Amino acid sequence: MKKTIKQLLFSVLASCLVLVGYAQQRTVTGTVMDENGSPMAGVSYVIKGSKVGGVTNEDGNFSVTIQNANQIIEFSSVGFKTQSVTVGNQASLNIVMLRGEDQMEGVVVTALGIKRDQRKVGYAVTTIASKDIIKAAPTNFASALYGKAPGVTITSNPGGATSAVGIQIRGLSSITGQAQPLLVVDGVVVRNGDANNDGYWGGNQRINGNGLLDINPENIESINILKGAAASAIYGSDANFGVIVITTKNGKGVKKGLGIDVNLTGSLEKAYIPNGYQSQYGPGYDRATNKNSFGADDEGWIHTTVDGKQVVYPIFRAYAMFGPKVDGREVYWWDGQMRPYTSQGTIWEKFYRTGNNTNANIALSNSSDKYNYRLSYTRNDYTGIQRGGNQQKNTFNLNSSFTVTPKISMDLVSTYINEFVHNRPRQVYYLTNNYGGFVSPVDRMDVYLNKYQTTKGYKYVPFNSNLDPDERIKYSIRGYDFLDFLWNQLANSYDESTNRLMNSLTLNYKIFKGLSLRGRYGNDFTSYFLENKERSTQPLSFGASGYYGTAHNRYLINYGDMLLRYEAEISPKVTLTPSIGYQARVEDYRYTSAGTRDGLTTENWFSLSASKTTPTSGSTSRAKLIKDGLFGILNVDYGNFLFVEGTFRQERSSTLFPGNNVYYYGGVSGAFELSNAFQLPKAINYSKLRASWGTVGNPPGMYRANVIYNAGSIQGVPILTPPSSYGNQDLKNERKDNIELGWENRFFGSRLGVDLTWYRDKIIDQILPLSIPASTGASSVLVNVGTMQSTGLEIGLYGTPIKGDNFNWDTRLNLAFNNNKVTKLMPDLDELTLGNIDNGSMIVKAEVNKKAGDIYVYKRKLSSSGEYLINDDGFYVVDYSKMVYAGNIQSKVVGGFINTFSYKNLSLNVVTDFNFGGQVTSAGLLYQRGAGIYDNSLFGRDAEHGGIAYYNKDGNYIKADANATSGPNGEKIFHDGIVLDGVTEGGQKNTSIVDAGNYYLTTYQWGSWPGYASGSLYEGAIYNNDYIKLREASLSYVLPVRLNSKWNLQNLTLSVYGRNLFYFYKTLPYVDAEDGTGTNWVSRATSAGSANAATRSVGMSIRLSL
Amino acid sequence: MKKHILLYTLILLIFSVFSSCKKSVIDDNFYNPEKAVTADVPRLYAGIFAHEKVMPRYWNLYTFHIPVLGTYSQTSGYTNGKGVYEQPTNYTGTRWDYFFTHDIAIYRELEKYYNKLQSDAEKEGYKLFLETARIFLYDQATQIVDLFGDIPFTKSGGLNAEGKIILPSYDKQSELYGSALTELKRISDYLATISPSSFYGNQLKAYDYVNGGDLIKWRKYCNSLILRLAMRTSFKDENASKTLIQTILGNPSTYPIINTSSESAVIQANSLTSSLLPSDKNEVRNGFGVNPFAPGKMVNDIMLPSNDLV
Repeated sequence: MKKTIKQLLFSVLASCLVLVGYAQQRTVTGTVMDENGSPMAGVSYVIKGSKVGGVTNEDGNFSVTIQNANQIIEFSSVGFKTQSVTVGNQASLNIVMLRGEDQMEGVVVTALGIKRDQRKVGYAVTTIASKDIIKAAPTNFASALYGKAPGVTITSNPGGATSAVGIQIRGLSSITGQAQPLLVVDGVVVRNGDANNDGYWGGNQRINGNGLLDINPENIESINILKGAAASAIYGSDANFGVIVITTKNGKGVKKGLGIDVNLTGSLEKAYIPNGYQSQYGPGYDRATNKNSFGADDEGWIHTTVDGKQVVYPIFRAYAMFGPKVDGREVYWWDGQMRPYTSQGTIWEKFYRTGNNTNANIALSNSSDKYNYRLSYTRNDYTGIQRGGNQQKNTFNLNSSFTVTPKISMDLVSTYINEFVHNRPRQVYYLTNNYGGFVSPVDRMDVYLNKYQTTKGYKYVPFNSNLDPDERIKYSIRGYDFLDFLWNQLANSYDESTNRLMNSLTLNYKIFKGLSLRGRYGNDFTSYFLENKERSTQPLSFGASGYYGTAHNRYLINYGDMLLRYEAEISPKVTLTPSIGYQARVEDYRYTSAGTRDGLTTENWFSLSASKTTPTSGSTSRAKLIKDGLFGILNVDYGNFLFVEGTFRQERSSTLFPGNNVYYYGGVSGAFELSNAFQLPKAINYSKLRASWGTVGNPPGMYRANVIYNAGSIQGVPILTPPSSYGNQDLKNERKDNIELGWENRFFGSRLGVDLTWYRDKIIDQILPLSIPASTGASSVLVNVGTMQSTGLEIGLYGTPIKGDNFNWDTRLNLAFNNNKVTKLMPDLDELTLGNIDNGSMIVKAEVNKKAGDIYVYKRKLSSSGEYLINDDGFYVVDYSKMVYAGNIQSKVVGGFINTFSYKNLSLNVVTDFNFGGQVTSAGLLYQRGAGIYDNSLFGRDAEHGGIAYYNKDGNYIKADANATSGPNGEKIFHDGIVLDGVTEGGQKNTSIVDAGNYYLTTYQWGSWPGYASGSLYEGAIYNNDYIKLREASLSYVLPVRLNSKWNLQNLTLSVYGRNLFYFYKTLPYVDAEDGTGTNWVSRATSAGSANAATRSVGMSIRLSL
Repeated sequence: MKKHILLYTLILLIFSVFSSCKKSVIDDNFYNPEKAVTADVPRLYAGIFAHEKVMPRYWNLYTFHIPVLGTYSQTSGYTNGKGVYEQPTNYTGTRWDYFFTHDIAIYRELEKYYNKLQSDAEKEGYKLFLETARIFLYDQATQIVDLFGDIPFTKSGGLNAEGKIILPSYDKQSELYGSALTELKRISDYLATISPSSFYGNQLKAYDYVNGGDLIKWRKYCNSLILRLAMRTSFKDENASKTLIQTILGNPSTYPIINTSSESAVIQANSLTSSLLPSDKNEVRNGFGVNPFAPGKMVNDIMLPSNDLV
């Protein structure tokens, strides 16, 4: 009945139009169906070249008025192949929609949110669709990008969901100013940032996050990564490190009516503790120190009497593990209990707990002719592996668009994130890279957990303290830093509340055919509140203790842009599209903090009023950054096979001196679609050559160019001092000139694809804090000097080796090679120090004509015959006259291997990524080897491990027969001797015996610089870091359609996944290959093992749509 | 067609409005609002005496003063071992750097701002600041010469003085000592004759937390320094030193000197809560912790027999 009325109405309309006199104009009707013959609602149709169109109704019917018979109607729907039908003389059309590739594959989002067909783009853009992001339920979108985009390297700080993730696109683009790529969400530049690049002592000792963690992966429709200069020249100087363009999900493409998507995920994560801890020996130094400084016996036992009983205990105070062999005897523990002397495995397994993450997401979407929207809510609860912390997050997201009038439409995207983090993970640097934190194989976690606070709730009482004799630790131990760590994470509270609001409002105005104007305003507002409560560590009668501090920060980015576009078909073969636009951004940061001083006057009363000393401490500061740019774009499309784009931008930035702050950037790119231009063999269904050239800049950070004085006051007198790091008013932007060539191909009906990209970046006017001789007045000054050249090759190989009715196998291999070279620094200057570890024991530097990031240490002295020199004491001699090259922290090749196997409704996705060719440094691994913590320090400790027998005669070690029971005069025989391979000063082969404990303690200890008289070899801190890691594996099952319709479901997917499961290959021993801190490349490579253990997680999720 | 032209001009107008109105806003946000961008003579003067190597501080005591200087000069005890007389280049380097990035840098800034002064009266008045700062600078400079030998001096601090990186040449230590002595004598003579106006005298009093603006104290410091430096060079050039010392000692009214320990030239905190003192009250104690041993030979064989045990 309804149908007839509609048809009637349509014919009436048709006749009306005829009456008015449009001769050729007529109405075409029809039905759209899917392959099974069912009508499809919500399919968009449009008359090509015009704005006339609509959406099919519930019955799949449509009706449209055409002007002439040559017009083409285009039918499109997400998940289906777009169909174009020439009307011809037909009065009605029946359209069958075929399932096709995800529509997103054909369209990429480029700079400023301009959508273009992939085939027309002249530079490298990698698109990652929503389904590839959420497969293994990552806590942030960047973690889902591992191995998926060639040339994009992801580095997660290992603190779990609250820790920053760094993204590096291609190679280094700046020696000292390397920063995160620009992050654009729905067209608005949002706050991201770096974290933890100032080392352990530079910040709050916690593993901090950065802005991209707030972007909910569930809400992302697609991620487009713009890598080269031509791609991002529009963004000007911020795009030096690449641009990540994120588009969030909207309500389009859903059938008419309400659509509900629900998704629930839960996962467990465990710490990844590699093997390798030795568990045969307990705490103690070398024999001589044990005896002389601690009064222990030859084995390392201290004998004492407690309550009339004879007891023994090892030197728990020692940071080294060369003490008594683990033999199970009863030992007087440092908490006063008697316990067996056994190894519990490594304490780190119990130090970490099992973490969990739950995520619930519900999204409502609706669409009609006039509007569509998607409203979603996500709740996230996370408990990490480090004790004492947790996180809760609520995210609300609204993505809507309205058609206000046929010419004007409006998009409004708004996201509100509310997050609470309690005791964000602390860096374990102080436990792994610091002698104060080394605990032994016999140590027990339950004892530490019991003793970090007294029974009265105060902090543990050291053995020599008078605060509470009953609660005292019985004797001095090494693990004070361990107890401090537990106190900080379990007793104290570091509570951070963040409220972040990101909005974007876009107005599209189609002025007339071909000319459109778009205006956009967006902002990113964050309010951050920190409450730091440190409990009173002792009773008030002994003095006020404890601390209460708050911080209140506000970050605001205001962004606006305008774009005017005109698409003109000049001739049938040529289409010109000029655009002109303006973009501006203001970033405003405010920081305020206050805290008590010298303790709380009432125990555990957390208020500023409790401060013992007034006035309380406090500070406030502001920072502001303003940038704007005027730009123009010209697109030329020729014959549907040649596409050229040119961009030009004039930019101003407040980080440069007035009068010196206007810059120009540009780029040109071309795409030549061979498959359209020529008749290629059938096997090649798509082939495109790309070439682009562009320039982008990198400005100095806020206020870096300032030449300022440090102000202070001494006894009320104001003082000023010039800084030892000088600014520079003449500073210019760094500039990157980038040339890129690419070739994209698809063969055999898109069953095989090969994408190749070659690029060369020339980075000039590098802003370097040049180390200058202090006699110039400062030890460093910011100058534009330095040229770096970076060349790389990116290869993407993908295809569907097996494509059957039931079984499919898709595979993808991404490879990226990068080689960079510092070509110039400054006249008379050949090197720049990037990192200095342990007071000059290890230097990371950038040298002219070499790859940046070379590691230098002092190595062993060699004799004239090329053998190691051994000194009179039997140890190696370190050559302090020069530092020697020992490796480089940059990788040579990075990539990923992704495979998807699907059988009927089951699908298995496996992501592996790999990294080869770079080294990392870990001072912590060096100290721990010297302290006897790992099994690389077992050699020589006893006969079983190759130790030589000897006896001590007046301080000299004389070799004894391995079976001897005593020396010639009854001396005790020891079996832990080592003879180092080398020659003495006199050229004789070395025969001096050293005991194992002393050998390791001397050769692998902190500090190795001229004048320190150390025998420590820092080359022992440098390791190759090659690995192949199983990053993600997910198995999902899509419930069959028939079951779905029973419950009115659109689709129901169950999946099980795992992340960071295991390594196929790894060269770095004892720690995870990615365990460095900081988002900066130098910081990451020089801090291995000091952040937190890496994690492995396993989980499952349910996804359904109604 | 007309409609199009109108539209285009309208849009261009909007753009130009956007572009122009923001220029001043961008320029105004170059400077960090939390830092000082201009300086002046008195505040720089006060900054030069906030000295981390003169005031006892943990870092200098622990890494340099006691283990390096103390061991070399046998004024602190130490555990014998290998390489005790090897120079730890990173720590001696820090000491070197501090002299140039603190003393020389501030002094050059002081000179720069002094030369920018407009009126003669200002120049006359602030000269006090410059000259008294010079006494302190020469004291520090000669100490650095004692440590390292030839050092860059006359051409040093080019970055502060002229804003350019000037790699300074080294001056000969004998020339440096010579010019130091000449300059100090000149300053002493100048301070003896000057009678500052009350305005500038009070300025000095306000900013000088070392000697409270008391010119007599400055002259005593200057003259006693001359005596010390002259004695240092007396072996090389006995006559020159002799003449200088006789002039100083022979005219106590023109050249007052430090005679008692209460007159010592010190940077003294005015109270226990002064900002001159480190915030950690254990800092000095911890600094001494590197080698908290009495130097055997000095105490037993030199001080005890001569009853020098105050």
